[in-house]
Order: sequence, then C-alpha cells, then structure tokens
Amino acid sequence: MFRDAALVAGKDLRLELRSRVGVAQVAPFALLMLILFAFALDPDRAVLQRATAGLYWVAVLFSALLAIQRAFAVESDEGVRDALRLSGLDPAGIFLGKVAAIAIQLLVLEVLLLGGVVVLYNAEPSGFALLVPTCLSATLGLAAAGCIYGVLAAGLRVKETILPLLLLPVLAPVLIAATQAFEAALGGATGEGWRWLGLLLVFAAAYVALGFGTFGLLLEES
Amino acid sequence: MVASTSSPGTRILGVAVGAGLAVLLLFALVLSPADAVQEETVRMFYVHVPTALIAFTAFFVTVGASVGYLVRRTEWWDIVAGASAEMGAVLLVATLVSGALWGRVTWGVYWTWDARLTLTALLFVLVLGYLAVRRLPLERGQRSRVSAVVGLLLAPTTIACHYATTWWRTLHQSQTVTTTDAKLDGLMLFTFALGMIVFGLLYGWLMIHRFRILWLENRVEDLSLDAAIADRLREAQPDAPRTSPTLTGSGIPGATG
Amino acid sequence: MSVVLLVAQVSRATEDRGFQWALVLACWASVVVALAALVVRTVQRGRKLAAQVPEEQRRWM
Repeated sequence: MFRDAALVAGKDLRLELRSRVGVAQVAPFALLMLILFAFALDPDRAVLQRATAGLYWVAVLFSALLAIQRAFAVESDEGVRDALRLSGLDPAGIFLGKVAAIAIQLLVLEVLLLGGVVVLYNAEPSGFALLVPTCLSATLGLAAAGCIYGVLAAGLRVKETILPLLLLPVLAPVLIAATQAFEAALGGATGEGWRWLGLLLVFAAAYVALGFGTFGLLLEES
Repeated sequence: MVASTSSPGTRILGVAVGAGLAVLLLFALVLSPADAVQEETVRMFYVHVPTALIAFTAFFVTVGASVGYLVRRTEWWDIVAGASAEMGAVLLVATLVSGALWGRVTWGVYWTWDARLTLTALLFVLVLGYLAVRRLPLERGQRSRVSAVVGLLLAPTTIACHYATTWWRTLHQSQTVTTTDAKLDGLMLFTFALGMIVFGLLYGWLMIHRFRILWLENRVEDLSLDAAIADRLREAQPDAPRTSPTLTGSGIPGATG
Repeated sequence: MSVVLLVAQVSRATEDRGFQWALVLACWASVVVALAALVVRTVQRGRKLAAQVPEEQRRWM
C-alpha cells in the first residue's frame, strides 16, 4: 500500500513540478488574498495584526480548495480515472498518495504565506514549537478531508461549486483550532495552544481513517 | 377514492398532530404562566427547544440510515436518510427563526457567535450540503452511495465542530433555561413536554409522507424508464407480432420467436 | 421574516410586554403557517405521485 501511495504521490508531484500550476497560480492567489484582506480591513496595522492568525488560515483554506480541485482535475481527462481504478493500485494507497501530494504542496504554500504575513502584516514569528506542528497537523487534516470530498466531487459536472459547499463546513473546526493555536504561538503565550493542537491531531487522524474506509467506494462512484 | 400517500394510520396521526398543536398553542400562549425572568418571551421556548431537539434527532437518524444503507444497500435505508435530513432541516429552520426572535428580546440581538449557535449554524450548512448532494443528477444507485458517504461523514464533523466551538466560545448564556428538567416545573414543564410530543409526532407524520413520496418518485422514474425501453423495442420491430414486448423476454431485434 | 424584522426595529424602544407578545405571536404564527404550508404541499405532492403509479406498486416497502 505504501508503495502505491508513493507512486501516486510521486506522479502528482512530478505533474506539479512540470506544470507549475501551484507556483504560478495557487501561490499568487494566496498572496493576493492577503493583499485583499489588507484592502478590506483598515490599513491601520492594528486590525490586521490582531486578525493575522485568522486571515492566514482563511487564505490557506481557500488556496487549499484550489489545490484540491486541481489535484483531481488532472485526472478528469478521458479515461485517466478509469485507468486509475483499473490499475490494481490499492485505493487506500491512492488515497494516501493523493493526501501526501496535496499536503506537501500546501505546506510549501503555508511557508510562503507565513513569509507573507511577516512582511505584510508585521507579524513576529515566534513559538515555533507550536507553530510547526500546528501547520503539519492542520495541513494533514485539510488534505485528508479534501481528498475525500474532492474525489466525490471530481466526477460531477458541478464540481467547482459543490466542493466548497461540502468541504468548507467540514473544515470549520480546523480553521477554528489552527487560528487559535497560531494566535497562541504568535502571541507568545503558547499554553492554550496545545489543546488546539490536540484537536487538530484528532481531526487529522479521524479523516485519514475515514479516507481509508471510504476512498475506494468513492473512487468507484466518481 | 383519491389516490394519495395517506393511509388510515397517517390520518389518525395527522388528526392527533392537529389536535395536539391546537392544545399546545392553548397552553403555550394562554394557560402556561409567564416566566419570572423571561416574562412572556418564554412562550417561544416551547417552539424553539422541541424543534431543536427533534431536528438533531432527525440528523442522527440520517447518519444511522446512511450507515444502514452502506451495509444493507436497500432503497428503504436510502430514502429514510434523505427524508429525515429534509425534515430535520425544516425543523432546524424553525429552531433558528424562533431562536433569533427569542434572542432579540432576551439578549437584544438576533444572533451571537456563542458555541451553541455557531455549532447549529455549521450543522445547518452541513445538512444543506448533504441535501445538495442528494439532488445531483446521478444514476440512482450512485447517488445513493455517494449520499450515504456524505451522510455518514456528518457525524464526525458534527462532533469535531462541537468540541471546536465549545472550546472556542463560552457556553450558551441562557444555559439555565435550556437545561429543562432543572428549572422548569408545573405547567411550564407540561407545556414543554407537550411541545416535544407534538413536534415529534409532526416529524413522524412528515417522515412517513415524505418517505412515500420519495418511494413513489422512484417508482415513477422506473415506470417511465420501462415505458421508454418498451417504446424503443417497439420501434425496432415495427413488423413484429402484436405481443407486448417484455423486458425479460427475448426482445432482441432479429431474434427468432 | 422581513416583516418581523421591521416590526422589531420599529418598537425597539422598550422591551415591554406588548413588544414581547408581538414577537411571541410572530414566532408561533410563522412556524405554524410554514408547517401548515409544508403539510398541504406534502399531501398534494403525494396525491399527484400516487395517481401516476398503479395500485399494485403502491406498497411502501
């Protein structure tokens, strides 16, 4: 199963490296969001600074939507998904591979966005002991839930509109927890943040497990 | 006799609901006392809490029926899941509206982002997503399977949202009113119990009818499919003997006999 | 809902009994009317569908 996962992940990442959609489109979109937030909220720095954690994760969330749709769109060409189904690869392995590929792309994006908020919102990066695990676990949860709903939506004609409707409410706990953990980390008082990290880890574990169970069924249906 | 989804059972149930509602209105609006603190606004409580509790129950049924469908793969489970989600959504709207009005008077605002309201709002949007999936133009079996997975996923999501929002926000300020057994007594408790019964029975009535409607919709779809196939077969054999083509028979053009 | 909002905003001054009763009645009225409409529509839809399906297929399970 892990070999299958590595195969799928490698394929997706290589596709990404060659097409550079993530670099050329998703990353600029994320930065654009940060900029737009600055326009929408008072240029008075205080508001942006207070809201930094929340704005950061909202930007990550919407960028993740793009990344997930892209990850499944690459297979929507004729027969590619059939080929995947018939390939004999373990569905759980395909799931893990896709999750890994999306997660890696998102992590790169998050590092970039972190730089963005440091520069644009005057954020002071601190509390890395909390910050890094938060990013990792939140990303894993995002990618896992995203893969489940992504494959579900992938075969539908209305995929662009149904995916956000299904996925965003599911990701609300991630948004809440990641924002709180970030605020704790950036604010210097990391005590409270660990509890939120725990929630993120549980969420990630739950959705990876659910993905294992349901991905095969959903792949058949899409 | 007009063909309908009613049956003697549902007629009795319907009458019971109607009568019960009338009695409930009597008690809620007239006979039960005004609260010492909440004054007259407590009367909205007899709508708000029963509909909330029954809506949550309905979604619980949806999750269970989704699991049931994935295990048993029969139409019955699929329809129960869908019908329950629809009726739950209806009741949840009643909950949200009555809650907003109640909040306006007791808290001064129609909405606030405390844990319970946030969770309810998220649950509502989740159910809307589920209902959207149920309406997708897919082949029936596929739609059932996909809906069942989405329905199943409602459960962990709601649990996750519950913990996230509860930690995130202080608890519902009016906790005292919503912990019903501790604070209510006498006529108010009776009216609340009556509310639970009436709305529960209403949910039952709506469920039975909605189930039958969805069942019939499937049958109508099947029938029209049968008719379309029969038409195609008839077209293919314009000179065939005048026996009505059957689907299980040898309706293959060109076959002998 | 918008009618209710209008009423609520107009009589914002004091949360007196009159205002309370207005909201209570608005609450109950809207819920009852909406549910009644749903019931009527359900019965009508049921009749329409049942008419399209022959008797023998109308067993519910």
